[in-house]
Amino acid sequence: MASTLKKIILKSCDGKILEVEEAVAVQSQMIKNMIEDDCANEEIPLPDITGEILSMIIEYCKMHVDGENNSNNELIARDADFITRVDLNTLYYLIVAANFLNVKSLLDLTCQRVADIIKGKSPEEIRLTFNIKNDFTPEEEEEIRKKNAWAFDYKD
Amino acid sequence: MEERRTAPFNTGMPNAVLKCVLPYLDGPRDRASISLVCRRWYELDSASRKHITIAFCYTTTADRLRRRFPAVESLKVKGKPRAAMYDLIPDDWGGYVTPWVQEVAANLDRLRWLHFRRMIVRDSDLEVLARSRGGVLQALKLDKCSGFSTDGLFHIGSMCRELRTLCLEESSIVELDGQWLHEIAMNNSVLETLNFYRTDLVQVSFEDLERIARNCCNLTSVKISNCEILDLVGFFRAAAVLEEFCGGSFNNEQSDRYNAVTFPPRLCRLGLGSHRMPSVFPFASLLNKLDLLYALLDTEDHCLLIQRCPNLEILETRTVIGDRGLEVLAQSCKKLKRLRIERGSGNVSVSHRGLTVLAQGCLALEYLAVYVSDITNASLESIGTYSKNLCDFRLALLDREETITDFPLDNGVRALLRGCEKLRRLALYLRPGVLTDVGLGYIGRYSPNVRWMFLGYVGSSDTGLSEFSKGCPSLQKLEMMGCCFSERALAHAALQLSSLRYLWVQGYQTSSQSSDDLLAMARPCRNIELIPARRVITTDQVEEAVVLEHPAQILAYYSLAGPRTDFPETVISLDPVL
Repeated sequence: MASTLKKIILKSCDGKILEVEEAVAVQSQMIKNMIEDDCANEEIPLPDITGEILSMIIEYCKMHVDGENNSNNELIARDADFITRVDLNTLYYLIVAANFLNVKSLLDLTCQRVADIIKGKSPEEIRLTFNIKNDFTPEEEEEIRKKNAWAFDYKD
Repeated sequence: MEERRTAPFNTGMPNAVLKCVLPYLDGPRDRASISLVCRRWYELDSASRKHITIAFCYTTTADRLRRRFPAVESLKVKGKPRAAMYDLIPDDWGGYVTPWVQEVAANLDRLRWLHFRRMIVRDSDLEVLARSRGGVLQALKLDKCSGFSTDGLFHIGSMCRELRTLCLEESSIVELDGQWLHEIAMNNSVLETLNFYRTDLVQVSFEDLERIARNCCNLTSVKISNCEILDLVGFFRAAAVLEEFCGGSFNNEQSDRYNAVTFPPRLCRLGLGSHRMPSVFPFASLLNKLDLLYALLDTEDHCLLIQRCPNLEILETRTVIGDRGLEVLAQSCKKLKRLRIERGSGNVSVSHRGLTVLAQGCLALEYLAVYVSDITNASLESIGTYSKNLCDFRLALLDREETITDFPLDNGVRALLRGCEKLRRLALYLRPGVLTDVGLGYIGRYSPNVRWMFLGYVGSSDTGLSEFSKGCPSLQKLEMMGCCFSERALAHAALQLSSLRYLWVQGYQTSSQSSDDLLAMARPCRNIELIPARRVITTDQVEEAVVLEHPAQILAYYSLAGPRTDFPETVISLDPVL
């Protein structure tokens, strides 16, 4: 059983060192691959992930490892609780990090969250929600609107 | 370094994030909005959109499709107007798949799923497709298509070895031999869905079907042309995971040999031609889809069978089900979502009585398409009251009865529209005088979400059409038949309906002088095509020549591609520049 207690050492871009149980760390497919390739014996530097984001990701992975025996509904409820505590800006960092570390369940959760915010919104509502500047000219915008409406959008 | 922790992304959503999120947004509406946010979002949408439906092939070109969505994985293209299903459109009208197939072959190398509907397909198209994409194509659906033969299918069978889905339903295919199926049997081990239902392909070998069932361990759906069920004993035994089957018949009514027929254990979607429904009783409680269009059952058989199907969600049958069958349905099938009742040949019919009971009993109903011989305002009102999930309602009134009990139906239609708030599609094929101008105005006013409408024999004057066209803010596609409207009124309506992209009309008051009145609907990028009144000679069931008068047709649609060039002689393009 010694191997399950083995610690993996992660270093964030702002210099924070985190020791993580292997069982938790391998929720990241990237780290799992490194372990399998015997490249995880020293600290693993994560150049684009801050300590704050890394802690959140570890919290999430821990929750999943600890909750392995829980029912699906309980996990869904915990996921929902986790994700609703996260603001938009943190969500962006989490997505980039989950993508880099390849934590599939967290990537699903965070991307779905952003997708749900976009769903059903008009272009203008999306711009307002995500603070995006419209850089189309009115003519360009009208042209795309037509193309969408006539050819690529309508379902009868 | 601490600042970095909370530093907001001040440029909106970073590309890296949007790229991760886009795969979670597939809906065409959401994608359309995304493409309009800003240039960056437009480009990322273009590069990542996987599913494209071209609702009408002449609205754009294959080249434009590829330039905007080079990564498309699944493509559906629809061709001829819907009226082609009722033989109202010349066979050679157009809707050729060739340019789409060539684009797929040459450039769209991520394409895995291809679906053509009501289009003309050549054997050479199928060969090009098989040669270029045979190794990767996973689904090919040629649905209500024509123009090809089993030779074309041979190429698909021999080269498309990754094919999971092959659907040819209701296509008109020239049958030269059954070698195409043999090729599939010899080459494919991943097939999940095989469908040549309602085709004339009968030269298939049952050994090939059985071999497919044995080789393809995920074969869940098989729909074939009509055959004797005794020939399928081996197939059924081999198809261990089959969930859907349509096409067999019990042709020998008395035969004891049917005792040898054992249906696969997971079968839950079934369509049989049969007088022997008792064979189905043992597993009727598992069925969630039943196709009785060719079952030749009488009303009593319908009742006996339906009451044993508590899990039924989809039923397709004919008017022979009768009001009594609908009563049993309402009592027994509380999960029913889709019901289609086609025109039948016998004396039994469906009326307002059956529809009322149905609406009260089957609250989950989402789709209802029915031919009735009689109808009342009250029955339409009950649908409005109870069918809160209805999104697609199609009513055709047969002219069997001299007159109907209760008309006009203006108020009933209004009550239905006000009650069924989820309605997206509506078809009313009535009789002159049954829905007045007032009712037509109600349709305009109370259909805020309806995107497609088919209206036959409605309204009594141009005033009705004018009232109608003041509403319907979401209406994208309108088809009309047998109405009394003038060209001028049609043109006015086409301009008034703000979301309209596609208008098809057959039967209207033609002005004798010229098409100036119609040309009033001309707008930049709107193509207008005319099929003048014509006389078509066909043969009836007893092979006697029948002369059919087809009134003139108009088709008007917006297009990015300009007027098309592949007209047959029967079609005239109205060019406003002339």
